[in-house]
Amino acid sequence: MGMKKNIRCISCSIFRHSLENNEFIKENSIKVEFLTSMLHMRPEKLDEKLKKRILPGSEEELTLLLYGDCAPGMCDLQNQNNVKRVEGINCIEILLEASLYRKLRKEGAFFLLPEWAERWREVFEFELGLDEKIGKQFLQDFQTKFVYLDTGQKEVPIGLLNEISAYFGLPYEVIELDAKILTDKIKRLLEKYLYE
Amino acid sequence: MGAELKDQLYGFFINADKEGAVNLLEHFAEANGYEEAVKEILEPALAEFGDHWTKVGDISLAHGYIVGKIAEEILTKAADEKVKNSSESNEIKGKAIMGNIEDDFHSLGRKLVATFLKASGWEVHDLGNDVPAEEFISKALEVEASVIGVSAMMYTTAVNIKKVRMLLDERNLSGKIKLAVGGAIFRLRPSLLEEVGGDGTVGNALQAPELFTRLSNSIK
Repeated sequence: MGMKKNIRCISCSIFRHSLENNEFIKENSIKVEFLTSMLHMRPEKLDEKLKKRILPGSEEELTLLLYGDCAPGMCDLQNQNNVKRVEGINCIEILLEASLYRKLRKEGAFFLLPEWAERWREVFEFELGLDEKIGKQFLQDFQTKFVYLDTGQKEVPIGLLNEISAYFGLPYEVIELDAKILTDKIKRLLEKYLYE
Repeated sequence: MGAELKDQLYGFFINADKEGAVNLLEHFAEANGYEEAVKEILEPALAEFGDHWTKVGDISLAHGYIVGKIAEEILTKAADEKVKNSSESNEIKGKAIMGNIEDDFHSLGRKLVATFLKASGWEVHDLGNDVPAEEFISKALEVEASVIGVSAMMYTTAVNIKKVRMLLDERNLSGKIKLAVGGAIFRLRPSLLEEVGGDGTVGNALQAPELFTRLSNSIK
């Protein structure tokens, strides 16, 4: 069986750790281009960047989008013939089992992936304009806990999580991600395009 | 003096300084009462903030939320003061159901709209996140609400609002209950209002009371 199409993947950098050592991606020589996850805070700009990178109607190339529904035009992009988007509303639902995602959301979880945990001050203080006092009130009004998703590719930053937890006055828990979930989603999506 | 204090309050709003804003309003209310504080300072400052939010667009939802909390705190005190000083109960402008549509968990915008609706005299029944279409309808019928307000942040979840429209139409309720929709995606994809069958939407939470009143008044 041979490759039917060239496959490139445009991915949010939030998935960097999950993709870098992904055997399926390596085996199938899928080239991954990352865009900064901070574009999540500017959906229109993300839209613009994605549109520029996806060339319409190429017969030989298929673009895999590793994104949630994070940009206003995402549905238009994924409806193009040569584009497929991985299943999931957002990055968390893409990485978790749908039922676990739903359960944790209902419990009031605020999710942290490695990249956003590392950049938490940039996200909360700069992007959302929340200082400690307002941030505490803001988060406590909406969330009950932080849930850190351990991709298994980096050591869990316990010190950092303690710092975030103290800053916002919310507890945290760590959940180990099963890398197979993401791989299976990508496989299901690409199966018919990978082999003749 | 009112204009000067209004400007000061607006400054606190722009800097998301809740403590400064509440202190200013309470200080004024001690001498003049909360009703005056609302009329003379809070409402004009809110109007200016809403205008800035709409025209300049540099206000984040979190920032809007802080201002909403300031308004809620003062308006609650103003309502309590009114009840204490009067034998009449506060007049209710209308009854509204609020909720995030099935699969949507982004509650910030919805809570903000609920805050401003309550502040404007609406009785709000907030059903929370991930609300199935049927639940919106049954609650609206139970409390005799005139407007259902449904929030969604993303296109994927916003399309679920079509089910609310479908149920309203199927049960011949469309002339009796209006459907207001909102969330970031409606601002970014204006055609979505028609696609999901909404009766109206607005660009920010401060404009919601006007929309709800207009929709309610359009019911024959």
